[in-house]
Amino acid sequence: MKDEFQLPEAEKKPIQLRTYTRMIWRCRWYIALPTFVLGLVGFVAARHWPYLYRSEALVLVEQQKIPENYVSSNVVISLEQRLDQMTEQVLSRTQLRRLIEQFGLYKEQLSRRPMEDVIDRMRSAIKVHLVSGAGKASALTAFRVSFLYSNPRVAQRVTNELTSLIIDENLKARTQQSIGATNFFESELDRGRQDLANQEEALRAYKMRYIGELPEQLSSNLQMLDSLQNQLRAANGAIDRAEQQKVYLETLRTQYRSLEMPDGTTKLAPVDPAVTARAKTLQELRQKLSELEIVYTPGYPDIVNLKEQIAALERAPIPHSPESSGSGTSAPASGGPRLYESALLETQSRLKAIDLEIQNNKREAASLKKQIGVLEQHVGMTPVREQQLAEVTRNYQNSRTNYQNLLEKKRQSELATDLEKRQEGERLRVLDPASLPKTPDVPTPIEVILAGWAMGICLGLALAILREMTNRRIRSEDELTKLAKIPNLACFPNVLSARERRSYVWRRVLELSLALGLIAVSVGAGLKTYWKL
Amino acid sequence: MIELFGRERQVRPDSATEKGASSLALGTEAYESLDCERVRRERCLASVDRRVVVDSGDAHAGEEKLRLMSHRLHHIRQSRRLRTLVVSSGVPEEGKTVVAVNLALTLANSQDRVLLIDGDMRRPTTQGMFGLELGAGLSACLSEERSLTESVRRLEPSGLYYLDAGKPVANPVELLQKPRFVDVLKTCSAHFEWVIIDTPPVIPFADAHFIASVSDAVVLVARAGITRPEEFERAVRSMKGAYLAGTVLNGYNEPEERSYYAHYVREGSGVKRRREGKE
Repeated sequence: MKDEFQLPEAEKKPIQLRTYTRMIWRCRWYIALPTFVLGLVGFVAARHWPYLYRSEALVLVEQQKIPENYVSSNVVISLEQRLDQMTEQVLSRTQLRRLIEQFGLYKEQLSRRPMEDVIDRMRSAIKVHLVSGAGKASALTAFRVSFLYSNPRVAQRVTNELTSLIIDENLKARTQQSIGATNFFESELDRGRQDLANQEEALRAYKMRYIGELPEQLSSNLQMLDSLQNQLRAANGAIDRAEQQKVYLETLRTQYRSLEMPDGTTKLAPVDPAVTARAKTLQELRQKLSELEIVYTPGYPDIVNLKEQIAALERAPIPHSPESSGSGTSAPASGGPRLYESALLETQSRLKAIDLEIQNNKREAASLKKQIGVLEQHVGMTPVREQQLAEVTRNYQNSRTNYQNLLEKKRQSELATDLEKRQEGERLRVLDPASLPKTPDVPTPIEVILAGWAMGICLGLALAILREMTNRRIRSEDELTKLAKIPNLACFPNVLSARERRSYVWRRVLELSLALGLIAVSVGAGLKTYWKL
Repeated sequence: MIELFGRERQVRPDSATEKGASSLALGTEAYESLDCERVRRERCLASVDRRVVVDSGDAHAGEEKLRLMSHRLHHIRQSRRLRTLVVSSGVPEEGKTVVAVNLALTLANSQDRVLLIDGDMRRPTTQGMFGLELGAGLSACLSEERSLTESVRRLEPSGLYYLDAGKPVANPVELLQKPRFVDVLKTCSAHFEWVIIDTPPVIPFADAHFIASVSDAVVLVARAGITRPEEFERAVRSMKGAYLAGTVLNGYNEPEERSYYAHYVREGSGVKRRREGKE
């Protein structure tokens, strides 16, 4: 069968737009009728649809009048967050239920559905959204509150109520938050105060415990140490001099004792009172000198004078009184044994005094050494105490700083709270009260009409596709060739008999009339719907 | 197997043969006789039925398609015998009669001697396309009521020989099963280069099967947008025993081709008118 014509295999041609347009033309009434019918339904529905009206109010966010650098607000939550919180409060089940009962909303729905569902529906009908400022994109200056309902007047009233609720909630929230912040700072301040007191006590205890070793006492300790060392030197000097004096007096005593006769007489000549006076004067001068040397330097004028006086007195010849001249043996004079005894006694008493003085000086030196030792220990521990004290002081300083900061913050917070209570802080003001909607919002009549047409077109197309899928026909040469597997000799155009042509013409006229009629009906219905709405 | 060209020269009626009736004895069985000179001539205007596009006076794109089809059939003839051609379809109302009539006229225009047989004795329709009355036709011929010569008509001015179906019969299969039908067909194929047979549809009726079994080839007609693929497939399968020369897609309106044809013809007409004007 195939040897006469070797037609090429039917190529797989891409589907052309022409194929679809032909299909649409073939199924035009399958598409047109549902489109017109549902379009008309759309017109009717647009007139009787239960439209919803949206009432909207605009609320302005007014910033606080007092500059921020004078009184800064202690409400740290951003407007968006606060708005979310306020919205949550306003859209709570309790509030919405109250509104539903107060305004008599959703009566029909309440008769068919539980309250919970109605509340959810109302919640979805309420919108609160922020409006950015014209200047900065991030600056939020206002927000809109809207409510969607079937009755425009009720929608307006409910929107006003919602706006009032939000404003009141905002004021309450801000005040509460501010008071909360102030209370917080108050409690923190108490803790800070307690902590500061503890730190002060700790510092005081430390200082008391290690008093004398503190760094601030180092200079005084060193001065005292220096002074004590000087005193020690003086004491040692005094001890040395006293020792020397003692030696002298002991020598003198020995001399006196060596002069003593077995009968109690003495070889010594009777004591010369002038000599005794001279010795006494020397002793007094020396004692005064030693006292001055403790306090003053050797160059001190009094010390120099005394030294000169002592030197002069020592250089001066020993005065003799007429009573003291003799051979050297003690003659029993009227005052001779008494003078020897008195000199010996005096010497012994002076020795005793010297001993006493030496003991006193030694005790004093020992005491001074002890004191010096203590002071040296104190001075040695001072660096350690300095470090320890620095830590204690630091803790104290921190507590003090913290306390001062808290005090300042509390003061600021109290100012801010006062500002909120007087409603001088950031506040909400209704810029546009709730509008009375004139035209429906959801859906609009145009949307209903277009939905009808769109559904009609979709249904029509679906029917057309269904028809094409179920009512397959041979439509092209390629199809025929592929089907028959024999070559196609010719494609003969459509020719109609006279009767067929008449029938065709009448059919076309009828189609055109029907189409015009449907268009006219659609236009009329559209106009009527437009004027009605 | 008869050689086409040799047989053609022998079979092609020359003037001597036309003038006298003779039965052809070519070493085969005797055929029904046919005297083409004695057949009735009838005037037929192609414009009677708008579906006849050949020689209608108006340029029609279908004429070119028919010429193309005619050319292809001639091409097939070069490799195999092709005299008797059945034109049928799967189901009714697919345009097989229109195609058969127009094809016969086209072949007749190419100077071939063509016989169109309306093989649809159930519902004859071809006569209407020529604006003729139903004659004795094939049914009378097969019933031996009339001879072939008496049944065939020659249509003028196309020169097409035409054998209508005759009076409708209830069961044409009986007539087709008679040996006379084969004789008639053979006689016709001996006298004509082309015997185009319009038959009833193949699926509902058996007529086309019988006719196709004694014919050289079958052409199946499908109608664009009307014929179902499964029906056509079934028709093809049912013609398994016969030689399917090809298919014709009827009612296929290719807008581009139509516009090309119309533009081309219009331009041609314009040139012709200008030439005539100059003359």
